[in-house]
Amino acid sequence: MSGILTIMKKEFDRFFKDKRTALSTIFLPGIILYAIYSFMGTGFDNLFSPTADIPPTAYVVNMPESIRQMAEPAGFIINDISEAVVPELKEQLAERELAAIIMVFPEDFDEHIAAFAAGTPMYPAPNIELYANSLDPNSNNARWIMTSLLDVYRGTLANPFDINRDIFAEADLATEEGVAATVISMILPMVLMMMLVSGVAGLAPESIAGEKDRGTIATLLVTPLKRSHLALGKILSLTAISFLSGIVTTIALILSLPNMVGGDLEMNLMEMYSITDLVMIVVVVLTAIIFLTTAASLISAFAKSLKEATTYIGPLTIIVMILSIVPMLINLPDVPQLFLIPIYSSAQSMSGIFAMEYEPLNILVTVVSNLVYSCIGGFALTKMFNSEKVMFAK
Amino acid sequence: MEAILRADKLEKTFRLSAKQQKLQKTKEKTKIAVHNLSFEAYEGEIFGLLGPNGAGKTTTLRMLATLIKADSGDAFVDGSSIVTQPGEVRGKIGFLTSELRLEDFFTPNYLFDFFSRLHKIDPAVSDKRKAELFKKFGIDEFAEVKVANLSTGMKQKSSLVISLVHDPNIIIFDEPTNGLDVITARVVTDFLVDLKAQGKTIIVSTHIFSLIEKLCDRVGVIINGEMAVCDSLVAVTGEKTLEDAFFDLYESYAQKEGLI
Repeated sequence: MSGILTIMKKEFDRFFKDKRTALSTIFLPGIILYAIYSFMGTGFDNLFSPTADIPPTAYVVNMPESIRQMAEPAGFIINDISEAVVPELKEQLAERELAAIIMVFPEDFDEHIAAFAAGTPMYPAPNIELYANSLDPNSNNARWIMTSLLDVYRGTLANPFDINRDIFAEADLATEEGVAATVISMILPMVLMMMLVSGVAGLAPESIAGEKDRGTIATLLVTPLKRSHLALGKILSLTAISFLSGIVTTIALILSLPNMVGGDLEMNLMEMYSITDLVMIVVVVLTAIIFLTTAASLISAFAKSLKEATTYIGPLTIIVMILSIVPMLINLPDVPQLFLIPIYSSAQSMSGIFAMEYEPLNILVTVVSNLVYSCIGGFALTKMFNSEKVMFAK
Repeated sequence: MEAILRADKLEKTFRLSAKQQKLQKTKEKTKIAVHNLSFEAYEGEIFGLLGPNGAGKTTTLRMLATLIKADSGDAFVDGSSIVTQPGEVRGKIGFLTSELRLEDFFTPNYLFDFFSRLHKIDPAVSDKRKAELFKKFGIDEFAEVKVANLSTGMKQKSSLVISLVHDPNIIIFDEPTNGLDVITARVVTDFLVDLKAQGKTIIVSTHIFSLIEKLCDRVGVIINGEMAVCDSLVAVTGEKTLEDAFFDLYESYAQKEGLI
């Protein structure tokens, strides 16, 4: 045991005393993720939201009194214009010099309505021309409000039935928490796995192939330190560091989610998830990291040099990315056998727990299989440390 | 005198790559590095392994240090077999070669403590030993300088000191003065004499005749992986210098093998 701890302590010292590497490995992925997601969210928000202090504006020709009386209370600024300037205004609207809509009503609009109300409609029905620029958020917003008003007006003229009258806002029974859980369950496992594998891919080659390259591992091999303790010490310390980075990444991701989906998402994780859920997530993430670290360590021990190790780690990263995207793209059946596939199982389990829909058996299969694969890997790593062909091959 | 280290018919072959086969103009897929090699080193002596480059000296020492495994044969280090008890052997020897390096990132002070812990040395004992050795080799001033920033000589001295954290009774040195400047080389050879005076057994490999003549009690001459002769320095050289004695041996070996 003391051998494992001595190696772990050295690995931690190597990592944490090098402050630049430590900070960048642990915090940088989280910070970058937070920045990108928040930026993306705010960017989309700006792209699609109207400017708050500009009221919806309409340039109108022949607007009937009945509609004017509905539009003005809705905050519309109505500017009456003559039909002659319409082409010019349309050009301005196309160039986004005008943040408004243009409406052209037929002169006999009110007569048509009166005839319709009397049960003697005149055909063809009157047509309203409404011009907007969907690239301009203010124009687009004015269009949405105006068409809704017109829809309501049309409804009042001939109304066989209403849908959701007075309860429109409460009609979507999806809870905010449910929506948040779905968003988290879709995005978090994939991004987290990618961040974890990139962290491990940065650490393991340096710690194992690097030491081999520089001849410092041979110095360890002539001490009474057991090879298995060396293997375990390396795997456990790398796991701990990656886990730390994983926690920071997860927190950053969760903090940035509301920004990303436009600020409408109210989330309180402690209310959404039970302690059991969170413990399960931690266990799944931890065993996933142990698996990734073991895989990366084996590759690093096998490689003849640091350069070779980083070359081999590339494909591992790609495989991990593909396997962790699968749960997002394909709806595979929830059978335990599929949870024997490493990486996929961890991503799928995380996704399930976050969405609050999972089979406990599958989580168990994931955790146990991760640990079993890692034990086999750890055993192989011990064998490799014992093999002169692997350790001293040039 | 009692043999504290006994090598018994050690054998080691290496696989040759296609490229190496071409370079060495051979169709053989393997190269015998060490063949049927036996020798004994007695307690409290300095034993020298002499031979040209590629004779198998380093391979022999690496087998003794359990860094590589013998194909057959065995060696006993203070009673522990390198084949069946490699862990115990590692605890009994101090092994130093230029291939064993220290991590650039750490300081000699840190590394001394780290290796002491790996050898399970009591911290109080280790601290005392560290103070003595650092002072002796002038490392004390550089104890908190990262290995990366040490001079070549200081790096070498740090490696030497750290290979002895556990105060081993048997010390195996591969080419102890290689790459050292004259002053550092002198410090190292003096230290070897010192260690001998403390009753330690030292095995050195070298191709430098003067080093053997100056230090060793007994010498084993390895030519082409085989022990050509192994005896006390006086018995090996007779009236001649070691250099002449070596070339006589080398010629007779070459004639026997049909090389000349």
